[in-house]
Amino acid sequence: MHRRRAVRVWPAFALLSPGLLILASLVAACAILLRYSFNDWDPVRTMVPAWTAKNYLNLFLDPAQQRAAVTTLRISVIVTVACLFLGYPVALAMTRAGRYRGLLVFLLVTPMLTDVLIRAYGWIVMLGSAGPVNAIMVGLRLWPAPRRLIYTEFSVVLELIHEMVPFMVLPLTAVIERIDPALRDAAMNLRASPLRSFLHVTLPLSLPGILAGTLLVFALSMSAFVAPLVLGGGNVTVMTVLMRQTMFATLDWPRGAAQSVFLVGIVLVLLLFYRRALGGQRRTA
Amino acid sequence: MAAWDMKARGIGGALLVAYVVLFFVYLESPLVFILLASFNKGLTVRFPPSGFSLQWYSALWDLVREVPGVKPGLVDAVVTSIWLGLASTAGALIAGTLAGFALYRLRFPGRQALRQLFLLPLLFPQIVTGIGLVLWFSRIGGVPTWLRLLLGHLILTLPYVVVTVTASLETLDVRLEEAAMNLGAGRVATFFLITVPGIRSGLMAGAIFAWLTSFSNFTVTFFLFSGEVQPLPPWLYQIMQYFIDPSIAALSTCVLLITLAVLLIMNRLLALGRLVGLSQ
Repeated sequence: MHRRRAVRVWPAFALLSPGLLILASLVAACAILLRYSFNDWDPVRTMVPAWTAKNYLNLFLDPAQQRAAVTTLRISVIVTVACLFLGYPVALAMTRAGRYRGLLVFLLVTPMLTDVLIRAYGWIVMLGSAGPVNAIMVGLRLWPAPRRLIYTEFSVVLELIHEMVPFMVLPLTAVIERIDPALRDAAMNLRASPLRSFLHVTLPLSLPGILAGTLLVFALSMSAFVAPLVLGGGNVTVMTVLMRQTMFATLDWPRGAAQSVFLVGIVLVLLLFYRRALGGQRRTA
Repeated sequence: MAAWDMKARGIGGALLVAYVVLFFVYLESPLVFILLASFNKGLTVRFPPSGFSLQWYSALWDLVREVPGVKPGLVDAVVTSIWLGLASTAGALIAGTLAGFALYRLRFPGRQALRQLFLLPLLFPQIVTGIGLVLWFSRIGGVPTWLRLLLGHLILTLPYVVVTVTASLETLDVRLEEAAMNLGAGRVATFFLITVPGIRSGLMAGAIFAWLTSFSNFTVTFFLFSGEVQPLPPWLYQIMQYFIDPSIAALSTCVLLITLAVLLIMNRLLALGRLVGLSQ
């Protein structure tokens, strides 16, 4: 570990200042959203400086915002649960992959770092009426005819699962690989079956990873924008899509600002618990 | 952990291997199908492919040459994205390296909170960053588009450099720096002669991560671009609104190959696993 050094504030401040300057614009952006969220609005005069809680009450009272919140919540829950079940076995395998591990990490990270628009386009190709998903389902006679899959909530969910599952696998892997293999060896020596040792040793000890991955994926799904925009095609109004409409179509900045503050609030609380769950672990990118 | 060979784990292990293979087929399939669609013959994207053809690459070439009747601006968009990526990478590299060094080598009050602040943009809702910046810029007025985009992208790329620099700083022996200082080198000389060369793989990885993030960012860019300064992602989005023909697949394949090449280089420099929070 680092050796103790004298406390030096000024050199640290000097080194941090370029970064702080950059982050100051993010802070300014948040501050202005916070202030605007208390302003009043009318269609003629647009934004009117005020101090009103109206926009925050509307988050819960306005039917359009209620619907958007319910849609967002439903999609995020489905995506999170699906990612957990799809991702857990992968995380387990990652910790036991030996020399293939590097390859698996590479395969996991590549889609993560690919342009999200291109991935969304990939799903448009996959889900098109002549695309592979329809071809397989019709070929297996599960569907009588090709179905229209693009621009539905289903396609948004599929894309989001694909986008989020690495964010489930990574914290899970990080936690599972810290579990002492001796514990499992001990269980096996005591004649526990592999299934029993998994259920009684690995699974309980990986709970922090499950919690962390769940919170992370849920938070990221809540704030996802590109998948609902591109694959929703105007039919899937989640909170982020509604925020864009409110801001740039209705031009009701105070209302959009309140929606932004609300979203940030939820996401930050989730992330706070996420960091707690991971404990001293370094966070994933 | 590598001692646990999957082959030796009987039927459960075999099932796990089968599942993992299926999972990765699923994970990579959208990327693979873009590639297949780009070589497909015929106007619609079809599966199974109806024949091999390079016609969509020649359609892409029409986009590049701005043949009348196709949407203009592809070359401009690519050039804009490249310089925007380079400028934000350079800025993030300088600011992030200095900050990473301060946050993990110096002791000062508020260090923990500042570490969190510097990593915050990684998980902060990007749409809120975009909307907030738009409101702020329109409030102060007079900020040219290129500067708006650059600031937005600096916010996004900075934490990646901080993460990679600190990952390298943790493996760099502090005693090397102390030895340099004991031998009479000043703090600044030590930083440039010992620390920077010692963390160069982290710096390279951070730069690549940052460039890739900037190059492929849609959400923040979408709120900050304008007609005259338009990076590739918003351009691509607009063209996807009008035609989903396979020339987009050809373009996407090109971008995909660039991404893949960049990732392969990065994987050689610094184990990807370390960057995403795994040991090893």
